[in-house]
Amino acid sequence: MTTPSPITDPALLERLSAYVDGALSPDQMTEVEALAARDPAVLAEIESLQALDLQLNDAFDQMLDLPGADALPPALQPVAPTAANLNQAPSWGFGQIAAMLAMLLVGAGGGWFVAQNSAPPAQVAQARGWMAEVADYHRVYATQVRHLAEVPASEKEHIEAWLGQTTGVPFKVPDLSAAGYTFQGARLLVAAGKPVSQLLYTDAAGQVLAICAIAGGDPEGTGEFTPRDFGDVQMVNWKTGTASYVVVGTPDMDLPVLARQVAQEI
Amino acid sequence: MIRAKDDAGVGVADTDRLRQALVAQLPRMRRFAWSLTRNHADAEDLLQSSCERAMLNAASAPDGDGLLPWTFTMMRNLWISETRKRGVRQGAGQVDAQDATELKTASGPEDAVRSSQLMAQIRALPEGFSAVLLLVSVEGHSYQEAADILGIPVGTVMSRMSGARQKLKAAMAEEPA
Repeated sequence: MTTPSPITDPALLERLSAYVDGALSPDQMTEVEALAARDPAVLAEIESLQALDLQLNDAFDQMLDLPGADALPPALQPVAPTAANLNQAPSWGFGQIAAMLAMLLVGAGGGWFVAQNSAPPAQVAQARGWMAEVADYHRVYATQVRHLAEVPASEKEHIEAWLGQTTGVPFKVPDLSAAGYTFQGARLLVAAGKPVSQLLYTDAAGQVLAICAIAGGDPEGTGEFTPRDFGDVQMVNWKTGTASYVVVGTPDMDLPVLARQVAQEI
Repeated sequence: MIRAKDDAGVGVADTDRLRQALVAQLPRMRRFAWSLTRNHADAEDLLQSSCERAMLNAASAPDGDGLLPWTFTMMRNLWISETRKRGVRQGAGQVDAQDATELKTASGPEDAVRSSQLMAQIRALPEGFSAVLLLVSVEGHSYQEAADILGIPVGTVMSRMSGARQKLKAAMAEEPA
C-alpha cells in the first residue's frame, strides 16, 4: 500500500527516488542508507517507493498482454498496402487510425479525443502542396506512352544542365537500370508556383517511375525518407538542406529502396 | 546525411530483418507510445508513423539492444512534432483520472482493478512524466539513457521521477480500496 509521504523536502524526496532507481553514487547510496537507519520516516518512504514500483511494473506489464498488443500496424504488414485500402492522406499521418478508433471511443472517455481531432489533420493540408500537384501530373503523363518525356533520354547532359539551372537544384540523372528501370527523358513541371524537374523512367512492363526535385529543403532536416500516399500514386520524399525530392510510382513498386539509391546518385 | 546501400538486395534484407525485429517488440513499442500520448488512438497512430519511419531508415537501424532505444527516440521525436503541429500542449489535454475510463475495468480481480486505477492516475500525470516513469521504473533504463531517449536533461529525469511517484502515491491514497 502506498501512502503520502510525511517528508516534504523536495530535494530529499528526489534523492530517495534516485536511490530506489540506483541512480546515486556509491557515497550517496551509503548516506541514504545511514539516514534510513536513523529515521523511520525515510525508511518508510523508501519502502513505499519500492512498493509503488512493483505496482507500476504490474500495471504497465498488463499492457503487454492486452488483446491486440502485438497487432501488426500497416507499416509492418509483409504485403504492401494497395490503393483500395488507403486514404488520400499520407498513410503515416496522425488522424487516420485515430479517426477509426475515435468512432469506438465515443462516449465519456472518448469525448476529449474526438473534440481534439475534429479538425482535419495538419498533415493532410500539408500534403496537398507541391507533391499533390506532382501526383496529378504523374497520373496524366504515366499514360502518355509515346510522348512520355519532353526531352528524350538521348539528351541526358542537356537535361541535367537545363533542369538543374531552371529549378536551382543541380543533379545527375541516376542510373536505375540495375533495378529494372530505363531512363526515358525529362519534363519541366510547375508545382506550388515553382519549377520542378521530373525525370521519367519505365520498367519492362511500361510502368512509369518519376523522380522530382524542387528547390527549398530543410536546413535542419535529418535526411529521413517519408512515404506519401496519394492513392494510386505513391511517393517517398526526402530533403536535403537545399532541395526536396520525391520518387513517384505505383503501390507495387519498391519505392523506399529506389529512393535510397536515387538519394545517393542524384 | 542519408545512408544508403549500394546493393538494393542488401537493402531488402535489411528491411526484412528490421521488420522481424520490430514485430517482436510491438507490445513494448505500443506501451511506450501510450506513455507518450496517454491515449490509445494517438498511440496507434504514433506506432504506425514510427514503424514507417523506421522501415524507411532501415539502413540506420542499430542491432540488438540498441534497436528499442532507437525506435523510442524516433517515437518521441514524431510525437513532439505532432503536438507542435496540432498547436496544443498535451498537458492542456490532460484528463482527470476519474474520466480516464478507457483504462478502467468495470469489474475483475482486486489487483487488476488496482492496476487499472494506477494506469488511470498515470494517464492524469503532467505531460512528460509517464514516459520517464516507464523508461526508468519498468524498462530499466538509467537516468542518462532515459534522458537521451527523451531529449531532456538528466536532472529533469530525476525530478520527474520523484514528482511522478509523489503524485501517484497521493492519488492512490485517495482512491477507494
